[in-house]
Amino acid sequence: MTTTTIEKQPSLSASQASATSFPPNPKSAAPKAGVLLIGLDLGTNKSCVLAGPPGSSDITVSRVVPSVVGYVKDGIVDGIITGNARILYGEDALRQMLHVDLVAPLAEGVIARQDSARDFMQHIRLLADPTGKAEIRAVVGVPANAGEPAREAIRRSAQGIFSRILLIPEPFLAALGFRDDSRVRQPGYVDPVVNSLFIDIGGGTSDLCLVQGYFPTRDDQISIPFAGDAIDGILFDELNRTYPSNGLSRITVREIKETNAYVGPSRKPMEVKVVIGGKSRTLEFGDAIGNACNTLIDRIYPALTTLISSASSDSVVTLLQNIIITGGGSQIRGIDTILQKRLLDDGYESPKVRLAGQDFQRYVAMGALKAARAARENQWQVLLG
Amino acid sequence: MGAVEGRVDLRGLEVFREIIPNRTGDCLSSPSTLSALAEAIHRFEPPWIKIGRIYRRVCFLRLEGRAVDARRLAETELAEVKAEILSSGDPEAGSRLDAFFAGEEERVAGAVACVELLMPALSERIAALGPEAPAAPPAQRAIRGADSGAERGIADFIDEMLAQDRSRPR
Repeated sequence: MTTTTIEKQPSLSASQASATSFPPNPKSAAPKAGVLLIGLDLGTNKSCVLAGPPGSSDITVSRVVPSVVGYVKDGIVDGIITGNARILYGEDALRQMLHVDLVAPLAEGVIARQDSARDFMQHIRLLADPTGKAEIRAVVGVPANAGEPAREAIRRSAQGIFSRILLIPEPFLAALGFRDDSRVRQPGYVDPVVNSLFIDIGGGTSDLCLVQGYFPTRDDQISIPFAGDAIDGILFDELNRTYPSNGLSRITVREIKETNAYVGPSRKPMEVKVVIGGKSRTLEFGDAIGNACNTLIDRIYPALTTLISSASSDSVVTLLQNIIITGGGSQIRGIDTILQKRLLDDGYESPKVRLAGQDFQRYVAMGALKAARAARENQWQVLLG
Repeated sequence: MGAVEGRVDLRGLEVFREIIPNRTGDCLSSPSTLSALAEAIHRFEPPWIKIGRIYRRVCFLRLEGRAVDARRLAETELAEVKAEILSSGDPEAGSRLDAFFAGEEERVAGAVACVELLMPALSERIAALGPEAPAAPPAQRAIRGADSGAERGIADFIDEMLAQDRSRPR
């Protein structure tokens, strides 16, 4: 029986995470020199890293990090940036956005900026192993049906940082992570790896995957380059059309979306207080948010029915009752209800769509760490460098 | 023993147990043996063959976590054959059915356990054959993870993934 224990690590500042300046936090659970396993969900907007030693079910590091790197601008006075670091990551970079050039290493789920991706990988490595001495083996999630160029970009980014790597599609990892290993043999427990359909809605892509007791083939997976970022774009454009010169940044618009996102019939009024030009204003967001999020449903639904139609008749009834939404998109209010209703209205037999739950940000990384623990020696790819 | 429309009337065996002595003059010494024989022969009667096949399928679906499919099969085909057996006139049909079901459950569980033990070795052998090794069709590649088998099962999934990667044109 597999059990996991989680220790929340104290937040590392950029200077503590940097290998070139401050020593690691002595209070953090520093892994022993030797092999350390990482499960990494490299997301377009947020990445999740779980780490733990092999041969154990302990998780020594569990972090969700915004996937952003901030390069400190020239001319910033000493002391403005903690530790006078030259590169900031994640929350630290966002907090200091006025003093850094922000770079998003990923776009639509794949690496878009190789150098920044390497810097970000180095940061991930130090989060997992502040000593910098461990041999790191990482299972990294990739979008469903990611092509070889995208995979090679990840390998190149990790060269010299991880000693071994294994790339596995994210929705399958989500199913592995979602599975409660302690209940697999219990009567009545439906193992998500045996017969389910996972919908992983991230920032860059929405990935759908049939998981039916074997490793999904290309035909079992669909990756749609429409997800959280695309919704942000639609909402941003709509707000600029309705409220010209509102001055709201994309980051602010995303925050508003994450707090208020919903699908289904229009919910009005949905008034949000924002500060524009130093003055507090109340803007009505109901229609704009609803229209933007409903676009996601229109993109996901055809892919969902395509995969359902490809399932065998023996399995489809059970499959329809195990449709699980995970990722940031699972936080859109009503998304499970709306998808389920559409399936029902279209005549599908007793569909049941549910949300993955509060750990939605971690399931891919959890599945990746499980895979890292289970992988045989000859399954790892050795990164030379 | 009489035979009625292809079915063997086994009730007569119970009579023989009591009255037929062996060459030394003793009666047949193990009534339990005869009962077991009677039970075993039951399995060759058409409704019992059919119900065995259906019930094994139900057991397998349950073990696979496909409770809805199992229930559907139990409520339709299994119920139909069960009714046929119970209406056969055999007063002990009900108890025979219970014992039969228990036996079939054990057989299916044993078979699944055997597959789980053999699957890793088979997967390694198939992987060792290289990219030319044909992949089994999806319906036959069901892998159930369980306790340390959760990790063992995951490695098998990874093997399948790597086999797909190798077979993909670059």
